[in-house]
Amino acid sequence: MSSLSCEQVRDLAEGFVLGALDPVQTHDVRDHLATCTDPHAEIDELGGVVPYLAESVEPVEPPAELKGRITAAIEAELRAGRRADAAADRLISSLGAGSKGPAAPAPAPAAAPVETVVAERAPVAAPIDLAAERARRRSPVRWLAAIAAVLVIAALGTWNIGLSSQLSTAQQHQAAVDHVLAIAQESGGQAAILVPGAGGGPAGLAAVAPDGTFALAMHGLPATTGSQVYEAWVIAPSGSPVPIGSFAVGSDGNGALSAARVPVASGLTVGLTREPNAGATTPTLPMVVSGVTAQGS
Amino acid sequence: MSDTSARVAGRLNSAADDADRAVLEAIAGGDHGAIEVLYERYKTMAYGLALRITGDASLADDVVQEAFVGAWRNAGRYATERGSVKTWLLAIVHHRAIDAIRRRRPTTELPEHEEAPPPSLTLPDVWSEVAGRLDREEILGALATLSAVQREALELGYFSGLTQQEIAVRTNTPLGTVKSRMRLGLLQMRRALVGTPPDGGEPA
Repeated sequence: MSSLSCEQVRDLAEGFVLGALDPVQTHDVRDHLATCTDPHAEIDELGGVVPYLAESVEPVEPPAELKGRITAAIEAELRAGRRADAAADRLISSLGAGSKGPAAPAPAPAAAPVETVVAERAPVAAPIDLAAERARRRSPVRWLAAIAAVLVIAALGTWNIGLSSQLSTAQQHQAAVDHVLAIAQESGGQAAILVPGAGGGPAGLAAVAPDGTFALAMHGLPATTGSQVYEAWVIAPSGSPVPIGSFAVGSDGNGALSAARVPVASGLTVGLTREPNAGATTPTLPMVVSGVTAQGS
Repeated sequence: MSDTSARVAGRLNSAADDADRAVLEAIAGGDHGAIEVLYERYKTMAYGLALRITGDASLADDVVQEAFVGAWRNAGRYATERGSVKTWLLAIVHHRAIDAIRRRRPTTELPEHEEAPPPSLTLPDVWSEVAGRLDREEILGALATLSAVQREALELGYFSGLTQQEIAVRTNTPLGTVKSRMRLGLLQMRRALVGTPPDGGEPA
């Protein structure tokens, strides 16, 4: 619930609609409005004027090359998105409905980017019993569980499991994946497969529960250095990217994040960016990985 | 502008709104080139706004690029009840521009908490009725009915990227005064634009 009372929100209304609050206040007001039963007519009343402030500005012709920059940026994103979609499609189709789970044991491929795993090495099986366990669960998100299993396998394939320190890393990653699955399996939970826009490499899963509980688990991320972080973003319908939280990644390439009170809507876009510092307010493009949530059931 | 021409402009504008929505639908439906239509229509408003806020041509370029790419990305999520496509687009530009100058300003410590996207406003009916009819001259005329301090408060609040607190400090004015000038300025502008005073909603 919101940390502000209705009275406090009314008091902040003019600053809110003008964009003259600090980020914490803005966030708190939005939070309140999202859940409050009061219509808060003052927000509409004052906010309705604001578009005219924008239109009071004298129009200026932008540089001629800007249009080309915009279309080039869109084309780049489109190409990246197509690759991501195709990867997810292949992932799902290669797994079928996931009802059987991945089949007989086979050596895990080494250092396989997920796109490759999906397209060429889907019948890979777990050196652990994760896949069988998932199948037994007969979850309404069977396909998701199956994908998760493949992701864990893909991750394991890149480690030398003989090293006990890496085994514990693998277990941690599996726990993170389990956490995501638990959220995805809640009634009304949604999940997204996160795959890179360009090339193979990092991949993972994110899930959002109806109460806004959020988790993601990633593998194959390049390590962060210094103050660098990976920032997770959620883009709700009609919204801009909202930062969810950030994490650093070590040499194991694993990342996990949990958050609460994430904006919930169907078809959320979840993405990760690499940022120079924590606390980014807009994503530094391109997205490292992204995906759109869908209901598992 | 005469009554007749205002009505005609209103019709044209609402036709323009419909056309804008059709463009967004086309984009959402996979016609990615359609963003160029929107760009051609609003590039000068968008660029003017970005330049006004950032005061820096190259930053304004980036802001407008981000805004149109963002609009393209979110075309399928635009909701009619949030106002016209133009309003939606300019709100994105505003948000990006404020964000850009706040990032650039080393003295403003951004809290670790994120900045939220632009508020999602729903515009009351009275606004959608007048929305199409207003041209820039009329808007400037409405702004001219504000007192100098109200106008300054709105301009600082909307274009400077400063928070109310920061404005209070810089103008050596109590925060409560800054807030009430903004609020009264908005209400006065609303009265000047719509012509009738709003019910209730008296300033604090």
